[in-house]
Formats: sequence, structure tokens, C-alpha cells
Amino acid sequence: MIQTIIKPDTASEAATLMQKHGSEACYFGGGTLINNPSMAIDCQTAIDLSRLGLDRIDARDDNLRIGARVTFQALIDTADVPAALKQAAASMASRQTRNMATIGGNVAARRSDSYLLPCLTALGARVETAEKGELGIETYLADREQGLIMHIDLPKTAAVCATRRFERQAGGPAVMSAAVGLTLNNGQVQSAVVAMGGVSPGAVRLPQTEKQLSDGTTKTAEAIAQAVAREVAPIDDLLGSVEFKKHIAGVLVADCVRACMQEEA
Amino acid sequence: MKISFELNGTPRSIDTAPGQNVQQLLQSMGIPSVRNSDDHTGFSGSDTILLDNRIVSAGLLIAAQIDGRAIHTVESLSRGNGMSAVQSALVDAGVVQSAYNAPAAALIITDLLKRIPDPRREDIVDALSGLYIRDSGYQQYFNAVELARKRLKDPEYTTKVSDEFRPELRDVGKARRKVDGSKLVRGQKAYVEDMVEPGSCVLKMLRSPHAHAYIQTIDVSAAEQMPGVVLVLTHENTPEVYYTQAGQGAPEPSPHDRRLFGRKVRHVGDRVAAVVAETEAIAVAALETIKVEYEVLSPVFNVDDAKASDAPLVHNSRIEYLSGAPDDLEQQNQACESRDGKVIYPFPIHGDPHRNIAASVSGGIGDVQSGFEQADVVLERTYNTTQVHCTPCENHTVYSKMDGDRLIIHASTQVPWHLRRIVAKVLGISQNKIRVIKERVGGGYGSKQDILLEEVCAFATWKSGRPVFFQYTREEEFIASSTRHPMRIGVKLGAKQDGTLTAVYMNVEANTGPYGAHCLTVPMNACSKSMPLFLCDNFYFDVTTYYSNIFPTGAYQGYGAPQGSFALQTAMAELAQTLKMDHFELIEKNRVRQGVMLEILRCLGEGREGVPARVESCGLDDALTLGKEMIGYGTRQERDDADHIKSGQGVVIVQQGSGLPGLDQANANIAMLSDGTFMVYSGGADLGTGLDTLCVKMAAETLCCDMDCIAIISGDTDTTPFDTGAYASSGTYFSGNAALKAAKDLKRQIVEAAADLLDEPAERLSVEYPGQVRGESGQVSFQEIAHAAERGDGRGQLTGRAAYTTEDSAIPYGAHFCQVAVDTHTGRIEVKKYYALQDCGTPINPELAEGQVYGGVLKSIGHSLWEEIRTDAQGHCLNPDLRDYGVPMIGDLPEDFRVKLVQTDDPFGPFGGKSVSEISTNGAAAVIAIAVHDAVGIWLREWPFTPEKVLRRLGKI
Repeated sequence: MIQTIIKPDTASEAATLMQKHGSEACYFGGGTLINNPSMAIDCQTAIDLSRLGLDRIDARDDNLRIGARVTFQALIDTADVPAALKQAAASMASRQTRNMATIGGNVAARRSDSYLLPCLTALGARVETAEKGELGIETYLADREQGLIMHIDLPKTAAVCATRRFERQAGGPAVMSAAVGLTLNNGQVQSAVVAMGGVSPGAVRLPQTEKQLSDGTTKTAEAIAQAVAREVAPIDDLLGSVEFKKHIAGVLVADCVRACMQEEA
Repeated sequence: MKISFELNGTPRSIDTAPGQNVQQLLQSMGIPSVRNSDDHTGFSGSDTILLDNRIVSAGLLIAAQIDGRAIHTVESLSRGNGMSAVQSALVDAGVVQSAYNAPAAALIITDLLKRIPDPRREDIVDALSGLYIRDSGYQQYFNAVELARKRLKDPEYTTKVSDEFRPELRDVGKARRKVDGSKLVRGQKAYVEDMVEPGSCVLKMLRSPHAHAYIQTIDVSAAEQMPGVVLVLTHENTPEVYYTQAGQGAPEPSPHDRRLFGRKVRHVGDRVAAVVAETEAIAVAALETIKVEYEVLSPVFNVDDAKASDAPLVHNSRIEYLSGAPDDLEQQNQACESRDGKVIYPFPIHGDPHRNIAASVSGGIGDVQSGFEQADVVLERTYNTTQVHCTPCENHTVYSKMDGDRLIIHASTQVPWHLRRIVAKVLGISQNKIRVIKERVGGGYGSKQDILLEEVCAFATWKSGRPVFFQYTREEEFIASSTRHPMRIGVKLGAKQDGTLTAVYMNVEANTGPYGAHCLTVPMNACSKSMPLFLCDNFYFDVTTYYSNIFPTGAYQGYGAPQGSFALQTAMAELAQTLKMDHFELIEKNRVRQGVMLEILRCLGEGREGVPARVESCGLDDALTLGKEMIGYGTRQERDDADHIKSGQGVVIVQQGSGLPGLDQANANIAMLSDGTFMVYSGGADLGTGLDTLCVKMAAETLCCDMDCIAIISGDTDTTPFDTGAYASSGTYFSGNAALKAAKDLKRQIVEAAADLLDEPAERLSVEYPGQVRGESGQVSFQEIAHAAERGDGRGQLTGRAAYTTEDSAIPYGAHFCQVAVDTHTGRIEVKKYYALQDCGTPINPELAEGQVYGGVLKSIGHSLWEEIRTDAQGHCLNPDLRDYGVPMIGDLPEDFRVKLVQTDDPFGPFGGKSVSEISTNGAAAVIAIAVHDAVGIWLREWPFTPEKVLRRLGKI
């Protein structure tokens, strides 16, 4: 249970506080994970980010800058946010929680069932941290010691992106999720990013499938699904067997590719 | 830290810990409406508040987050005793039933209509996406929002919210404001947790980590020495009194096979010790100091394990009988183990605990062997159902305290009188020392028919003299509550080539889990609420119920009928396929009809010999005809199949009962007050279904006055008369008939009193609306009659009294139709259309009845598609929360969901009414399975029908 809450006025002050309090401290955004007893997060000292001005979305010349404290609902309600990211945010079913949960918290938590990480990966998001500056999202996710997230930047690119999440029911846990970002030229894939959720903490890229999409050797939905099933490595758990999850992963990615193609057309 | 915030417009400043949970903080500040039903995981929305004008979950907030901000709760929506437009719309639309989350709904919809004055359906779904509703199933919220939208513009606006019935009656058959609706939707104190006084102790339970084990030693000395610990209870200091937790009429057909705390634990989560302490934190800390050594035993989890010749025995107990003991009982007990305690059967139910058999029964009519020999086609199939949960919004809760030398129990129960009887037995005290007050119940569905926590809390108060509060966590709901019995049901059908049934056989193997609550009656109901839907000369059934080490089972809406219906109705569809006959035609050829004699009921009594009954009312003619037309049954051109999306349709028929004729009893009194208004004293236990409203309607209709002239108090063992309780669909039929009978008795007395005043013979007088008696010489008002009765020379207060018992049955029927879309890529089944056509006689409260059908259907869609308790190999629950368990939310509603009440006029029901709610859980599993077969040609014979199972059956994985 949180015993102390500190509200720094600057990012550097926040980072200093984190260094000072070490493992007993946590950065505190919306609180939906830290305050949730089922997450069993041990945080004695909360470093509240509410005074850092991180709750804005700014459309800039070369990217869309999203503050770490921007809520899921704000993502949905802001016109400049890409449709795929809106859709990913909307997959958090509860409006109450969407009004509280933040993009920064969701990225920092690195959950395998993250609502946003596959989509942010497919969108080529970059993460600005207080300590290390700007990092690619995969670089950020690779190391838990990357520090305080300030912003998520979405580059303006020609790529199209689609995302899918398979749940047995509304608001239920995700069996698998997928996002695909494609750079297309007259229906031909120039480059591809395929990111999966539901496999391991964070989002997992599927480089073989991406290569097959990019070089045009895999085009049909069936072939894409097979490529994904070969490459993805989920675990057997409450949500389904490995065989089932591989199958679903293939269906989701194939559906994302179809949606990207349709968008370009 | 000191925080300042605005609460419902008033600046507040308090000292609190920064990490203090805001839901708990607000309740401590006198805001009862912000509740906790999900262990603060942000799932169910009971804790919804507006924070700076955005809806959020208070349970996911800590105090530091509200510093400097503005909070609004439902208490801000209305002034005085009035309701806001949104609140009144919710009540009028019929969605304020058990109402635990009704205040949250009012707040959410108020927020929605501020943001979007004319919301679309998807806006409503989005707004309510974080609100869990179990009773009325979401569908009527669309009506409520529409009504609220219009009422915000025109406060006087009103509209028809449901079909109306019986035009010759004023209130019966019409939507009328639920008598407790305003109180509940405004979030006033109504539930057990609202009655807890400052300074009360808290009880927390230490639960077994093992599915099957003996407690070798238990050391509670450290806990007992902790400051603030009042009492620690274990098997060493509690009485060895055996009882059943089933709230059934005595003598119960369930074995008395448990005590407060045993030396043996029989499921993960079984009671080991209880700590009563000054605060919850102390109680939790004390639990951690208790040292227990277990002798771990091999568990059994399913019927096959339990029936194995070398199976571990869940109850290797000493067996006793209160009556009808077999001659070889001593021999049976030779190898029993004293640490297992006892199994005491009130009367024989063919149990054999030393073979893990809790109960068994067989019976039938005709000659099934001969029937199968006469058949052109014989079909045999097996169906499996898994363990599913009631999941009421309000967790199980009790608060007990002393009043002088009497024990007061504030309970969230369906059975106040059974509760009093069982507590008296366990405590070894007489019933006059106990008062049970049934508070408003935030969802029961059967699980609150069982005495799951009240007796231990009552014992703690009786022993300590202290007021004690005990409320389950959501996790405890999953591991230590009542669930639907898992069953394996074999069905064998014989039929002529033209579809005429020649024989029907059902073999039910049920898993009762660690204790035998309802072990005979629930599995038997799988037969007794499914077989009588069909007419055949030859029926037979075998029912065997096994003990095991799964989580406890018990009563759950439907009470075995959903499992039996799934098996028999699906088997009939499979038979139709075998016969190359349309399923609808097969149903029509064999189904029950008004006027037939149900001989099968002779062998289907609940622990006693049954009584054949004539079907006095049956609405299946209209239900099937209308439903077929509504859904366009068999017209494939309406379906829009994409390549991988396949559509299919199905139909089933369902039935239930209306209470237990010959077993149940209800009582009611109605007193005339000094001004000619009335007070109803009903024993009925209103679970939020509107039973109190129904009883008021009985009185208003009979006494020719407005419902507003009648108040009601119910379910209090001190102040209201006996009632067996709200289970087995008894409310309308038994408690309603008792109120009606009491009203008639009072009406007779009113006429006699008026005859004196008018000096005319009573037979020339008539009672007229509004509240007067007319004779040939004039009229006299109820007020004048009451005043005369209470004068110094009066005849005394006029009070009508009634006890209602019957041997007559009033059987509700229904036909359910659905259309599904099966995604052959993912295996996902989507229910596109679901039409439930229900015959509940005269629908007394039509809007509430419709809501209960929506709720019952959605629960059973949940059981069919998503809900399932999952365990590991040692019996630990892997998904003890609502989200992972899979309860339906508003986003899961069928696209086109309709309830149609098909009126019949039952001669025995009050104003022709029959039961309605429970029956609606019986159709979904079978009708979805049948529709899936129609869509993709596979038969699903085990619920839930998960995408993975569908893909495997389709050969996709």
C-alpha cells in the first residue's frame, strides 16, 4: 500500500526522487494498475506525475506527441490520434477505467496482454524518457531500467496500420492480439511490421512473417496465417492451448493485412 | 496527509493515509451508494463516481488522487425524497431490481446524457461498458435511457415500457413503480453492509490450501494474543453439530454432513479457522499467524474419479439416519474414520458416502424397455456441463449483533426462516432467541438460499457478545459459495419414424462437491423439469450424485433444469436430424399441451412421492407460433452469410414450476390503519424481483384502492409471519397467493364492519374504488370504517390473515428461439437474435418480469459460451474474479434480444399468475447448440461452447 505520495514539479525532480527511493518507489499516473490489488504491485512511495504537464496531445510537424498521462479515453476522443490506436484504446472495455488508465502506464507495465503495445509497435512509436531521451519503443521495452516515460511520439509515415484483439467476450482477457503496419505501393508491400500481444511481456515482432510479407512470398490469408502460426510461440494457459493460440494469431494477422490493404485501396 | 476536495458540492477536508482506498473512504464519510463488488479491481462498476465530471472507479483510486478535485456520487442527483429524471426512468423501465449497481447506473446515464443528449445504441453500450448487471441483463437499459432522455426535456413525459395485460384490472398486469425503487436507485441505506454500526468487529476466514486433507494440528495462540483480536474459532472450540447449508424445508432432503469447522477439509477454500477482530486489518494479520499442519489426502474431482473402486473417500464418516435407517448401518460404519465426522441423513435418499455417493434415485412410468423395442429409431447421446457460478453483484454478507439476550441477524438471504432454524440448531438455542431481518438483497439467484456464512457469524456474536460483520470477498464467492452442479447426462430416446416418442431415458451423474447441499433435488430436477415437456408412455430416469473435492455446489436459478434441458432438448434435435425431420415439427408432435395429465410427476416428487397433475394452463401454442413468425424460422434467405460466417437457427421449449406444492407454505397479514390505508406483513423474501410490489398489487386490486395506500414490510422473522422462502420459483405463487388470501380475508371484515355502519346486510354491499363500501342506503369510506373499528366500542383493528398451502401446480412454460453466427475462422459463436417467449400466466409486474427473463437468458448464454470455473490439478481456482471467469457485460448482448410474455390465465395462480424468472435460464444452452449445428453441422455436447472447442470440432485445429 502506498504510504507516501510526492508530487514533483519537474521531470528531473521526479527522476531524482526515483533514484533516492529506489525499489520501494513507483511512478504514478492513473493508478489503475498500481492501485489494483490483483496486480500485487508493491509501491510504498508514489511519485505522482500530475504536475509535469504530460496530459497533452500535440500534433507536430513530424510526429504526434502524446503525453504519458494521456488517458485511453482521451486517445479515443482526440481527432489526430490514428484510427488503429483509437481502436486499440477502445478495446479496454470499461469507460470508467479508460478515463483513468494512461498510455504511459500501459507502456511501462509491459504486459503481455497490453491493450496498446502491439499497435504502438506497428505504428513505429518512439518513447521519450526523462533519463535517456528518445528511444524506439522496442528498445524501451527491452530494458526495464529505461526510466520515466514523458511522451510517446508517433512518426508521420505513409504506413497504414490495423490492429485486432481476440477476446472470448466483451471486456474479457485477450487470448491474442495483433497489429500490422504496412508501407504499401499500389497494393505491394514495401515493408511490414507485425507485432503480437499475448505471447510474452510487451509486444513480440514476427520478423520471418514480416520478411515474407515484404518480399511478396506470402500474400494469401491462408499463407499469412500459416506463416504466423509457424513463427509465434504462445504458451498453453487458461485462455487456450498453444495450438489454438497459434491459429488465432494467424487469423488476426491475416485480418490486419487485409484491413491495411483495404485502407490503401 | 490532509486532503481537501469537494464532495457533492460541499468542500471537505480530512486527514487520511495517502493510500486509503477512495471507495472505502467515501463509505466511511456516509456515502453508502459507492459499493465494492470486485475486490477493487475496477471491473463491475459498483464503485462508480464522477471525478471532475468523468466517471471513474473509486475502488481504483487512492485518497491522494482526489486532493483538490470534485467528486459527485448518486447522492448529488436528487433532492429531498424525489428522484431525478434519470433515476425515475430507471425505476419505470424496470431495471431497478436487486439494484446493487442501480445508483452507479443512474450516475453513468446522467453523465452520458450530459455528454450526448441524443445517444445512439453504441453510445449507451459504451457508457455502460464498465457496469456489471446480473439481474435484468442490460437490455431494458436502452428503454431507460430513452425514457430519461425524453424526461429531461419534459419531466412529465411517460410512455409504455412493456406490454400490459388484463385490462379489467387496475394494477395487476401493468407496469407500476416498484415499491422500493426510489430508495434503491437513490443509493439509500438498504443492504446488510449499510446496517453495520461503528465499532463492530470483522470476521475473516482462514481457508484451506488443500482440496482434501486432515487438520493434524492447529495453533492459534499467536492470533489470540494479538491486540484487537476478540475470538478465534476452529474445530477445537466450536460445537460438533451436523447440518446442511441448504435452505430447504425441514426435514431436508440433503444430508447433514458438515459442522462449523471440521477436522477434515474437503475443498480448497474450506473453513479452517475464523478470526473476529476489532478491525479488518487486525483480523487479516491474525490469520497469517495461525499455524496449521495438514495430512494431505488424494483428492477426487470428477464423477469418474469418485466412482472408482479405489477412490479416496470424501466422507469416510459415521453414517446416521434420523429416520429409516437401513438394517446394515453398523456394518456400513465399521471402517469409518472419526476425523471425518458424521453424515446424518434426515431420511433415506439412497446415499452411500462410503462409495462417494451422496444420493441416488430412480423412477419412471410405463415400460421403457418395451418402448425402445417399439421404436424405429433409438438415439443415445451424452452431454456434459461444467461448474458455473451465481455471481450476484452483492457478495455474501451478514451482520449479527446482540439485543439484550437475543441475537439479531441482518441477512442477505432468500430464506429468513430456514436461516433462523439452522442457526438455532448450530448454536443450540431456541428460535425465540433469534431475529432474522432480511435486508434488501443485491442478487441471490439461489446462492443466497444456502446458509454459507450466517451461522458462523451468528456463533461468533453469540459467543463473544460483540457485533460482527462478515462479508465475502469476490474470491471467496468463487471458492466457498453455491454453484451449479456439474453433470454428465446420458439421454436415450426411442421414436417411430413419424417422430412419435416411444421411450425416454435419462441417466444423470452429478457432482455435488464436498458437501451434499441439494444433492438429491438439484440433479433430480434435471429430469423433473425437462421430461414433462414431452408426452410419452414410457419414461425412466436414474440419478446418482457423487461427492468430490471441487468447490461447493448448491442452488442456482434453474436448479438442475438448465443441465437437464440442455441434454434432453439437444437430444431431441439430434433425433430430428436422425429422423430427417424438422426439429420444430418433432417438438410439436410430442410436446405437452393444456389439459393433459402429467403422470410422470408421480415419480418426480422432491424426496417424497409425487402427485400427477393436470396442465391447467400452457402457453406453448402461442409461444411457438409467435416465436416462429418473429424469427422467420426456417427462412434462410434472411441470413447474411459471409464466407467464413455461418448462420443457424434453433428452437427449444422450457418449463419450471411455481414453488413446491405440498411442501411450501406462505403467510401474510394485512392490517387496516386508522386512516383507512393498509400495512402488509408478508413472510416473502423479495430478492429484488418485485415480490413486495406484487404483494401490494394483490392487496390494492382486492381492496379497491391505490397502491400508494399500501405499505409493506417483509422477510422479518419477528414482525412478519412464516414463509418457507424465495426459492423454487415460489414467490408469485405462494407469497403472492398468501397476500391475496389475506386481502380477501380483510375485505370480508371490512364489508362486515361497513354493514354495521350502514345498517345493511353484508351481502348487499360492495367494495369500490377508491376505498369505500357502497350499499343501497349510501357509502362509507375506509377511513370511517377504520375509525369505527378502533373506537372504544369498536370491533378492534381489522386485520386479514392467511396461510397459503396447495397441492395444485401452476407450471410456467416457454419457447426460446435464437439465431447464431459462427465464425469458422476463430470458432467464435455470436448470438445475433434471441427471442424468449414466456408463459407466466398473468404477468403481474410485466416490466420486471421481462427484465428477469432478459437476465435469466443472459446468465444462461454466459454459461453456454463463456463462464467456467477453472482449477489446476490440485483444485486451486485459476480465475477467481468476474473478468477472468467470464460474466456477460453489455457488449455481449445479442444484437436483437426480445422477450415476449404470452399470457395465459392459470386457475390457481394469483390473478392467474405463475412464476417467471427461473425458467428463463433453461433454454440457452440447448438452443445455441442446436443453432450452431444448423450453422456448421457440428453438435456441441459440453458447455461452455468455447471457440477452441468449436475449432476442434470443425477440424481447424
